[in-house]
Amino acid sequence: MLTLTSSRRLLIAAGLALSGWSLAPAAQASADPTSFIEEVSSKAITEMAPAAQETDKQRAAKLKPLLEQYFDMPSIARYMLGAYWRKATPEEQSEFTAVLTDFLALAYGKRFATYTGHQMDIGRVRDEGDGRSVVFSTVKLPSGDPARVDWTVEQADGSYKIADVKVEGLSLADTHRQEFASVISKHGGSVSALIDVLKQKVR
Amino acid sequence: MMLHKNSKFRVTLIAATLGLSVLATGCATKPDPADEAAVQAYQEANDPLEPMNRYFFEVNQFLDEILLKPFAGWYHTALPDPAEDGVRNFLRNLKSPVILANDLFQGEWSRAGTTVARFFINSTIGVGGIVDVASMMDMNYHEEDFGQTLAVYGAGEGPYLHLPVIGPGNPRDYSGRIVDYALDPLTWVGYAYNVTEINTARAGLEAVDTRARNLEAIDELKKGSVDFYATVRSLYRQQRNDLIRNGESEQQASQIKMITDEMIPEDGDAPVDFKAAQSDEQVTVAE
Repeated sequence: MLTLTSSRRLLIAAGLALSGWSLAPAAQASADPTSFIEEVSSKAITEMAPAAQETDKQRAAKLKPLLEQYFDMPSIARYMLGAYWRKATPEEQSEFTAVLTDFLALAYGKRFATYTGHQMDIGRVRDEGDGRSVVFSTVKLPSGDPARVDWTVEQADGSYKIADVKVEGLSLADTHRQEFASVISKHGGSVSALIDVLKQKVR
Repeated sequence: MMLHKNSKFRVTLIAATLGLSVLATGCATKPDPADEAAVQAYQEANDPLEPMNRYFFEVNQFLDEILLKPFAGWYHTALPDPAEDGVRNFLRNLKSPVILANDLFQGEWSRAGTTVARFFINSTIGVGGIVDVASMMDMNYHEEDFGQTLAVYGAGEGPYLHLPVIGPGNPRDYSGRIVDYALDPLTWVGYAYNVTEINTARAGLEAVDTRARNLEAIDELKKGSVDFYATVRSLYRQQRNDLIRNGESEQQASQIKMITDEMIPEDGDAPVDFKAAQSDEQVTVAE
């Protein structure tokens, strides 16, 4: 009946998977993962907070450039396709990456706008090696327990990008990876079928 | 959740019977062993009874739409937020004995202490558990159940199972629930005084409380999903794993996967064990 038992976490996951950012602007060029997350956060507030009352399409239009600028969409796309990435043609790969950005912008726009603006405390940073690190933070919500939000940040060519967001242990990348694999196998292993489904969704 | 815990057993029996009948045709088609991507997806899903599970998932979605969701919506509208928090605190306090038992089974002495302290503080100063005074004293609520204990002891989860009314789970977590039911003093109070209705009421209230807190979240999830069944399956597993680790991602070796060329198997390779590629933990303190 109820899909998840303690779905408080689900709520937060849904609401915060890409959001809950609130820190004083620190918008110089980011020197380390922490200040990068701070930069993303202050940018998100400026862009998304006024969008709370807008339509899904309007919010998606505002979120998309943020995703493109701050998220490593090619590597996220690649992870989400899993082993199917290799089966896909180069055209399918780039088409998938493009439609994925639209899909995430649409799916998370509302949660993003609603939850932006709460206090975020950045905790430790763990160096994962190979230019990757995880920035741990907690977001204070208006009601209920504070939410743990972990950011996987990677460094490439001197700039930082987000590779995954985990809210209360629920990973954005893993959740969609399973979902996409399921759609692909339903369509006999066809990646282009998934692309069509996503296109339909964002239309 | 919706039903009296005792009737859960009956429901489980019915489910098992129904399940067996669906089973005949209910097994997922195994992928072509030569199709390495399909094999990997199949193993990652760990859902051999997927057609049956999907059927029960649809049943539950229907029950949710006609019963639980409307009722939870009404409850959410009728009750002011502090009252809703009071209900949740009260229900959480009732779980203390089961949480404590599992804290102890897992050798989590400090968390066991927190559970005891919370129970006494909230039951007294907190007016029978309605006010969570303990969390204001930095003793925050945590969950623990026998399914988690089994996982800590090294039991695997087994294949995914989505049962009617009960929802997502797996053999490990369902076994855990039966043990927790037996561990719960309220179960025995119910039987001893012939007031098993209290358990029914409690289970019903838990379902409504949880659903009421997630009205918008679940709508958004559903709307933003291209395969809601698979989304729920993944979220269930991730949530359980997070609970088993006690949410201590900072202390754990990272679960975050590296996305590099080596991670994508070459044709014919076995699925990659992502954890094997994790780097050693190096912690630096921010600021």
